[in-house]
Amino acid sequence: MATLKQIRRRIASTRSTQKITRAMKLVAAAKLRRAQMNMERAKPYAARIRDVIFDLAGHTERESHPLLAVREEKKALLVVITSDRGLCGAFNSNIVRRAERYLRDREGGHEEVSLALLGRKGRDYFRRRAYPIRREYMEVLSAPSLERASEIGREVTAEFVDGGLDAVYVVYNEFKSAVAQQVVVERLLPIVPESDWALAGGGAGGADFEYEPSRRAILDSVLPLYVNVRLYFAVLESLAAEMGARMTAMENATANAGELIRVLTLQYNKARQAAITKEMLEIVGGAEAMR
Amino acid sequence: MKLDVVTPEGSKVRDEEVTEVTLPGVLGEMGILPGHVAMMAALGTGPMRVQTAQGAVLYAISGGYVEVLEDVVRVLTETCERHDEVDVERARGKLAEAAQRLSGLSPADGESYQVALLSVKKAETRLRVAESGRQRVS
Repeated sequence: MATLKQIRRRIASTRSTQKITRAMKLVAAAKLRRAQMNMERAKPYAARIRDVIFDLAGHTERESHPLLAVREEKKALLVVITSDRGLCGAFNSNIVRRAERYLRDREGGHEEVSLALLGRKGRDYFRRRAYPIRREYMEVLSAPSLERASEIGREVTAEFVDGGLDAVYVVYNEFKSAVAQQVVVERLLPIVPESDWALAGGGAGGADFEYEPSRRAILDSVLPLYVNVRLYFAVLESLAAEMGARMTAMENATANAGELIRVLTLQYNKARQAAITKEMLEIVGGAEAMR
Repeated sequence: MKLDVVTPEGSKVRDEEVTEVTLPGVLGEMGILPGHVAMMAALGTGPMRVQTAQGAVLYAISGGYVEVLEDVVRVLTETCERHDEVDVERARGKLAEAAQRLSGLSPADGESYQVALLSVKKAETRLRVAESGRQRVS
């Protein structure tokens, strides 16, 4: 049986672990709020871009614009968004498993799928396996910015326009609530304006507009922004989901640590009582013998 | 007329009463006065000047489009910083870094040349806007 000193030491170390997990939970909660706030801020922007694309793309021939052109999808890129740090429950394993299933089952029906890995966890996983990795981006979630998302967007778009890729998909964790995440796969390129896109902005609608320099030029300048903002959203969603997952994981860890402390304290008290009892027996025994 | 500026960081200008807006169009500067015809234009990188009854304010903006309809000017742009919001140190650093990158490239490099050129332009715009904002105050 463990000595009193050993038990005391374990209790102390569990206590300090609990302090850390509790602090991590609080930090995750704060970061989660920030990610949500950024999403709220960017929403009207994204909606406006969507509306204007829908308005403009409806009037130009779809095939004529490189970012709207749907062609046979032979070579696809899968952007996998994972976190850079661990201790966030099943967050990363869910994503990685989903991505692997996508590759294994040839879900998109592509001849060839390569990977763009965003986040250290995904990179570590896929590097150990034989998958074609095309790009790696680290530390994106730790400091999410539209600038960073745009960099990635630009690179991916350039490759798509060059013909090196026929389609780009993103797999990421969608933030449902602080306790629920859902892994989703979405198409990033080509951009397909869908009929369910709301025209709530009341934008170009029926009005007779003068275009400068041309409809096409405006579309040219807006389409890449849409790709960027969608990536940015995927990053923010992932970040919010990561923080939600970490909050849950750390809350469980804190509770488990509490339980462990309770058990250890019990053990400690038992051991202490046993020691006292033993000592008393020895004294009594000794006194008996002296008589 | 009214001005609205939307960016990924939220609404920058909301429903402000203005008398003139000057914007960096892709083909050059353009001014918008009340009574302008319905128009849509692509925006480049450069300063946006907003004239109100109280005076003029400068912003550094980049990309997006402007829509003018019935005396409402709607600007959607990727970045928008008011002259006093510009981080001059950072812009200087960016400019030096981008200029360095640009010097090693030629237009034949395509995409990466364009990216570097745009970075230079963005940083220059920020510095110019910050500079003229300071002059006005002093």
